[in-house]
Amino acid sequence: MSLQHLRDKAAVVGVGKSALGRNLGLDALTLMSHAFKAALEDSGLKKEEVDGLIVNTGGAECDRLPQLLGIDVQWSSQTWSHGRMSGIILEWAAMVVHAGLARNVLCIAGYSSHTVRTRTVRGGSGEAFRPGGGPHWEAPEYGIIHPGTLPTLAFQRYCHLYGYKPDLLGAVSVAQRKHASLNPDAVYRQRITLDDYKKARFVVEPLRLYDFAAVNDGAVALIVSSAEQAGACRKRPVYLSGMQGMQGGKEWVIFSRTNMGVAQQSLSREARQVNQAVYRMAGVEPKDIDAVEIYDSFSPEVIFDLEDFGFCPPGEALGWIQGGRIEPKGELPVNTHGGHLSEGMLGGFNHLAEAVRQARGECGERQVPNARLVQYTLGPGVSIIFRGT
Amino acid sequence: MANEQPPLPSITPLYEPYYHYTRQRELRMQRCQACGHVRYPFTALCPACHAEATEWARMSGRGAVASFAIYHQAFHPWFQNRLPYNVALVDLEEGPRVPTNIVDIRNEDIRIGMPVEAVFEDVTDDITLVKFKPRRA
Repeated sequence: MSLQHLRDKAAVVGVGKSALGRNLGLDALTLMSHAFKAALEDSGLKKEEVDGLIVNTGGAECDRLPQLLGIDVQWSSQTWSHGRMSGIILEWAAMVVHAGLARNVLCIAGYSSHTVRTRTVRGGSGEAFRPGGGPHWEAPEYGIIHPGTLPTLAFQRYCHLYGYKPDLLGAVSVAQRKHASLNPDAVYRQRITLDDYKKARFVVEPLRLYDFAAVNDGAVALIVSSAEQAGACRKRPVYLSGMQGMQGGKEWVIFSRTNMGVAQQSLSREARQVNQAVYRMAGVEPKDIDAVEIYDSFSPEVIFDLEDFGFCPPGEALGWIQGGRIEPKGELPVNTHGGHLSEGMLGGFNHLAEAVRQARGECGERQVPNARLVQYTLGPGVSIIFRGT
Repeated sequence: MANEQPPLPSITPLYEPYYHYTRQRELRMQRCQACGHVRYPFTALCPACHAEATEWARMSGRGAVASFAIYHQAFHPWFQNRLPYNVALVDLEEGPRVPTNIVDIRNEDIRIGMPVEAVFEDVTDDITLVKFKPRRA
């Protein structure tokens, strides 16, 4: 079976978001209910037609949600609350509808300060103390507690290897805040300058306050249907054209570029570009992509993914993003909703929603003109190329 | 200050020998008895050749700073009065890249590539951590 087998065989037919904000005072299930209702309206489907469910929050929501949402699902699954599986959820859904196990799969995530968030951010919980390092290679006994430490360490090494001043990273936060200023949903809409960036306090030096995701409450729902089913929905379908899974191995760690992370067993520490499957599946190249939504809990991820996914060669991204290239009207707009840094932290689900809406052309002031191919990435490996019609 | 206990590592059976040796001021890691690969993180199978037999081989303790960062905010009460503090990755001569702290140096003097050597710091009666200090190349 060739890699092209799944190209355009499934589509996102509905997108919905709850309110976003800091401490909204609502629990995650309530926010998810709001997002589901919005996605259902967007799709034109009836709730009785939703027969699949994948959810990525911390509890046993795959049995609670069907009751709360009034749906009967024939196929359901659940991942952990971390954003690294968000893209994968859509990929599963595409496989499920293509295989005929369900017709319309609800993919949903919700975050609330009343439920899951503090577990990962505070580092004081069990997960960070997994033997050999936490899920982001935390090592609390050495004070490596914040999940952004690894990308910070990788970024510091990156600057050393390629001769950059770390403050150049400010171009990411400045660009994303510019995008967010055009997005009525964004939690942080006030534009910042490079000077504002440089004046902000260090959190984990060389990263500053603006390099970290704005943690907040909110939920996103997407409905994935088979290509045949998608044609009957309210809006034009956005196809999942190319997909690539989470990678793992001796050189890979989350949020870093190849061979720049910790706990690696290989002595080969050369950068190499391996993210090609997503392009082969979609039959396109990086130069064909109209906008990229990059998982950005920490701004160095933007640098690493631009290189890992072939938008520029290893060692060049930090220079390449200067001068407005990833800003609105730039050559390659990145995180057109503002990303986690400015729209808000929704585990990458907001990136997926934005990719679909950009590919539909319904993003108003922040719309990338004629966007048809919009890519989602989360290094190492996760990527989806969305194709509008 | 209340609750001022240092965060401690999780020690499972696979990690017990490592901490047994650090208490004795020795840095040892698993070395595959079949192919010689030094394993880190510690594993039941050699990731290179899948042999199980391993010995806890003494490391030279020498390495170089692969990267570092400075915490200016405490995310655990223990560090509240210890800011700013450094965290680092050190490449051991034998291969593994390990998380650690650099000691006996001002944060602003730490450099990537700097030669370092292991030192041992008792954090409780039972747990000794491996840290690194600058060494003359």
